[in-house]
Amino acid sequence: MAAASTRRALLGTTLAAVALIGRRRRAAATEQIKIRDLYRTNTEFSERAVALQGQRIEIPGFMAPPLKPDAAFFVLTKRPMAVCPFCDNAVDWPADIVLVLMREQQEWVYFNRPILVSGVLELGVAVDQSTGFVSKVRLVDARYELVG
Amino acid sequence: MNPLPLVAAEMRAGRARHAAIVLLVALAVALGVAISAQDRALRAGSARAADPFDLVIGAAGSETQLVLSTVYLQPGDLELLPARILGELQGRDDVGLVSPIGFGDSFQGWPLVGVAPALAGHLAAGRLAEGALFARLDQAVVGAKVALGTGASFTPLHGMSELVDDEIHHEGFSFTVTGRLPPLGSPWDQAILVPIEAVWWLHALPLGHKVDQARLFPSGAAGEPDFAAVPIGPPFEPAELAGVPAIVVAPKSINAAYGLRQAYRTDPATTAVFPAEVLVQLYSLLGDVRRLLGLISIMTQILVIAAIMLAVLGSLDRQQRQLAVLRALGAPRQFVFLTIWLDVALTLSLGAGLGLLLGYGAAWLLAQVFGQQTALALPVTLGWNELRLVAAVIIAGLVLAALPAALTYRRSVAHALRQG
Repeated sequence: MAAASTRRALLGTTLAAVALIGRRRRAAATEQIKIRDLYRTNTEFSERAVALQGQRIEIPGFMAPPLKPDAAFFVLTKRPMAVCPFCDNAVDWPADIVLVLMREQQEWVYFNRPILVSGVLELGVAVDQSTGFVSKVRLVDARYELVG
Repeated sequence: MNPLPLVAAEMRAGRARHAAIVLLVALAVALGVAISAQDRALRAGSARAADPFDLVIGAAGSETQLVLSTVYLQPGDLELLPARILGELQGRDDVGLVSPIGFGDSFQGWPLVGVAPALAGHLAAGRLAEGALFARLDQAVVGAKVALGTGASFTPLHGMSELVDDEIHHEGFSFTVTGRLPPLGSPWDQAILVPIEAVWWLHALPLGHKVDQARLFPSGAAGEPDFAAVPIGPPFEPAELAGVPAIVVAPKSINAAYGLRQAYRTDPATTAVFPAEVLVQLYSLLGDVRRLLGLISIMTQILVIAAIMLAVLGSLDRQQRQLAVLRALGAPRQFVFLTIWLDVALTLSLGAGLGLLLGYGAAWLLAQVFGQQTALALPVTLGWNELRLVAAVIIAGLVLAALPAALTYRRSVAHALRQG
C-alpha cells in the first residue's frame, strides 16, 4: 500500500519533471502569450503583443465550436465555450478571440480540451478571402497540440 | 537473358490462376479504396451544401433537427420562433444577411421554401443560371433540378403529398417562375424558392410589412389582389411579423458570429447553431466507422495476400522441374529468381491497380445512389489516402514476391531434377 503510493508519487514527480523540461525547451524556442495579455484595453493591443507581431509564438486556449466544417481555420478562446451555459451571456462574449489559420487541416477537438497553438502573430483588422469574415487577431501558418 | 518472354508464357499457360489472383487482390483493394473515397466524398458534399449557411437560429429545441431542416431541407417538426427575433436581427449592423425560412407547401413533390430575396441571391453566389430573382409576392426562383422553366406558372399545394385526403390547393393563387439557381449540390436544388411573404399570405398570416389595403385590393376585398402593393424582404415591420421556423444569418465578422450564436443560445426561447458544429459531430462518428471499416479492409488485404502467397508456393512445385531443366541448360540463377519474382509481382500489382479503378467505381456508384435519395451531390475523388493504400499493397507485393523467388533460387538443380 505504502510502497504503491510512493511509487505513484515518484511516477507523478517524474512525469511532472518531464513535462516541465518539455515546456522549458518549447519556451526557449518560442515565446508564449496568453489571450488576455494581447489587449491593453478593449480595443487596443498590448505593447507585448505589438512587439511579438510577425513572430512565431505560442498561445494556449480552447477551440471554439467550428464555424465551417472541413476548414483549415478555427477560433481560439481563452476559456472553453458553453461549459457553463448560465455564466456565459452575450454581454460576456469577449472581443479577445484569435483566428487560427492552420498550415494544414487538423482534427477537431472538443471545446473543453486545452490546446497550445503555435503560429505567426498577425494584428489588425483583415477580411478573410475565402470566407469573407472580418478578424482582428490571427495566428497564421499555425498548428496546435493537445495539452494537459 | 530477358526473363519476360518466359513470364509471359507462364502467365498465358496459367491464365485462369493468374486471373483469379488479380481479381482477388483487386476486390480486397477496391474495398479499402471505396471506403476511404466515399468517406471523403460524404464530408466534402455535406460541407459544400452547408457552406452558404453560417448561422441558423431556431426555436429552442433540437439543433440537429434545425440544421437538417434548413440546410438539408429534411421535413421535421420545427417550433416557430417568436416574431421579435427577426425584428432584432434585421437592425444589427454586424450582420450581412438575415433571411427567414418558411416551409410547409409544395408543388409536385418539390418543397416550397419561403426566403428573403437576399438568401436566394446568396445561394446563387450573385449569379443565377437563368432569369432574375423574384421581385413580387407571386414570383418564384426554382432550384437547378426543378422541372419548371422560366415563365411557367403553378399553384402550390398545402403540405407535401398529393395523396393526403384533405389536400388543399391554394385555389386562385399561382406563382410565376422568374429564374433558376445554379446547381448547388444540395437538396436546395430540388426546392422552389418563394418570398417569405408568399408563405405568410398562403397561410393568412400578417405579411411582415405595412400594406396599403386599398392598393392590395384595388377592386374591393373580394376582388383580385394586386401583389405589387406588397414589398418583398427585409426590413420587416415588427408589428406585422408572423413567427418563422428558422432564420439564416450571415454575420460580418467572426466576433459577430460567435456573439450572435451565444446571444441566441442564452435566450430561453431560441437556439442558434453553426451547421458546421453538427457536421463535425457527424464527421467524428463517420471517422470512427471509417477507421473500423478501414481496419477490416486492411485485414482482408492481408488475408488475401497471405492466401495468394500460399497458392504461389504450392504452384512452385509444379514449376520446379521446368525451372530445373532451364538451370541444367545453363540459365543463371538470377534468371530463375527474376522469372518467379516478376510473375508474382506483376500479378499482385495488376490486381492492386485494378482494385483502385474498381474501388473508385464502387464509390462513384454509391454516391449516385445516395445522391438520388438525398439530393446531396457527393464529389468522389481519388486522393493521397487511396493512392497510398494501393502503393502499400504494390510494395508489399514486390517484397513478398521475393519469397518464392528466393526459395527457387536456393534449391539445388540436381535435387529438383531427381524429384521430378
